[in-house]
Amino acid sequence: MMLQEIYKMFTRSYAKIVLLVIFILMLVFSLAFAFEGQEYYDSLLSTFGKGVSFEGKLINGNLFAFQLFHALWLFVGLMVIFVTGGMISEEKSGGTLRMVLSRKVSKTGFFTARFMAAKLYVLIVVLFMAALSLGGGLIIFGSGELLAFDNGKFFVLTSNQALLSFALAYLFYFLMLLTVVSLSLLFSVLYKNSTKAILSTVSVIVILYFVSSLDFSLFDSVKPFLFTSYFTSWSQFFTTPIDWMKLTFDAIVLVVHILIFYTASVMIFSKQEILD
Amino acid sequence: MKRNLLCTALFITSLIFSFQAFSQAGDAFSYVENYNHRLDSIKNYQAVFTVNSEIPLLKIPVTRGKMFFKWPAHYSISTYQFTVLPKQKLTPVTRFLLRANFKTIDRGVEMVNHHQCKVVELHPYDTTTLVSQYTIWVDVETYMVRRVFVSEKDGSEFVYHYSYQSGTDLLPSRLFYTFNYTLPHEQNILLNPVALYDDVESSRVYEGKITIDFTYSNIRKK
Repeated sequence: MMLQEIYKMFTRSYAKIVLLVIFILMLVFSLAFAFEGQEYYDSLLSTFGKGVSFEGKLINGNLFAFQLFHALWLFVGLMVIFVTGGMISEEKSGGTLRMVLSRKVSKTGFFTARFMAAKLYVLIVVLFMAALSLGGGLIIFGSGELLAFDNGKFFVLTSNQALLSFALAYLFYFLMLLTVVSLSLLFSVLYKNSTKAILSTVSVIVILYFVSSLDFSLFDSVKPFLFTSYFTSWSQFFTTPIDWMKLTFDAIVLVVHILIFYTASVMIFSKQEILD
Repeated sequence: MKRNLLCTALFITSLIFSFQAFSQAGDAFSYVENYNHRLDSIKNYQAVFTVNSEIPLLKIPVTRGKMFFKWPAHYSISTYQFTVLPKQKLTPVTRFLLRANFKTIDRGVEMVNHHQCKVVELHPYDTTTLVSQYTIWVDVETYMVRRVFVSEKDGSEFVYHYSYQSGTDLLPSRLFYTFNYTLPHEQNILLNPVALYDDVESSRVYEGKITIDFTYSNIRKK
C-alpha cells in the first residue's frame, strides 16, 4: 500500500511541476549570479567602509547555494502545499476515497501511508534543491569560503564548515517543510474541495508568518508557540558559533507541531464518514 | 630710538623662534624620510602572515597568506582563504607620505609601548586628497615608525600600530590596525534577507580591529 501511495504521489502532475519550477528558478538565478554576483557582494562588503580591503575568491559554489537557498525556501515551501494539499480532499471529491477504503484498509493506515508518501516527496524536493544548488553551484563556480549573513551579521565559513552547515540547514528545512505538509494534510482531511484545503493552508501560513515577523512586543508572548517563528532558523546553521541549544529547541517545536497536526488529522479522518 | 631698537629686537627674537619652529618641523619630517630611506635599502623579502580580525558584524576565521616584496615598490599578496586586510593592504603607510607635500607640525615627544617617539603631524597641501591629517610616531632611537594615525575628511579614522622584533630589522613583526565605519539603518535591514527584524541594530559607528603577524624570510639588502 505504501509503494502504491508513493507511486500515486509521484505521478501527480503538480509533483513534477514543482521540481521543474525549482530547476527553472535555479537557471534564472545562476544567470543573475554569474553576471552580477560580484557587484552585489562588493556593494554588501562596502558596508565595512573604506578602512578595509578584502582578499580572496568570493563568488563560488557555496555562496551560490547559500543565495539560492535564501531565494527559494519560501517559494518551495508554498509550492509543496499545492502538491500535498489535495492528497485526501481530491480523493474525497473524486469519489475514489470510498472505493479505496472499501478494501481492507484502516483509515489510520491509509492516512499514514499518504503521510509517509508526502514525507518522501518532501525529502526528494529537498535533495533535488540541494543537488541543484550545491552540486550545480560547486561544478559551475567551484569551491571556496562562504560569506554567509544572518540578522545583519556576516560570517565567513571555510568550505568544510560550509558543507556541514548546508547539510544541517537542509535537514532543518526538511523538518520545516514537513510541518507545512502536515498542516496541509490536516486541511485536506477537513475539506472535500482541494482548492479550499490549499488556500486555507497558505492563508494560515501567511498570517502566522506575518505575525512571527512583526517586531511588536504585543506578539512576543505568542511567537514561541507559532511554528512559523522557526521557519528561518535554518539560516542560523551558517553562523559561528552555532547556538545548538536554541536550534535543538526550534527543531523540537517543529516536531511537536508535526505530531499535533498528524494526530489531529488521524483523529478527524477516523471519525469522518465517507459517503460519496 | 629706543622704540626702534625694541621693535628690531622683538622682530629678531620672533624670527629666531619661527626659524626654530620651522627647523623642528622639518626635523620631524626628516624622521619619516630617514625611515623610508632605510626601508629602501631592502631589495626584496618574503613573509608569511596570519590575520586575526575582530570586526563587529563580520566574523572571519584566522587566515594565513604570503607576501612578496620586490624593490622599489612591488608588493604582491597571495592568501589561502578569503580574508580582510587594512585599507592599504600590507604596504607601509609611510611609503605614501613621500609622494605628497605636507605642512609638518612637531607635536613633541610621547611614549609608545615604552619607546620614546617623536610625534609629527602632517597636513597635506593638496586639497583634493581624502586625507585631512596624518600623525606619525617615530622612535627617536631607531627611527622606526611605531604608530600612524590617518584622519580623513569624511570622519573616517585609521590607526596603524607597528611592533618590531630584533632580527626582522626594519620590518614590523606585528601590525595592529584599527578603523571605524558607520552602518546606516537601511543597510542593516538590507543585510537581513530573512526579514526578521529582531536584533537589527540602528545606525551607529563600529570599530574594527585587525592584527597581522609577520614571519619574514629571504630578506635581501641592496
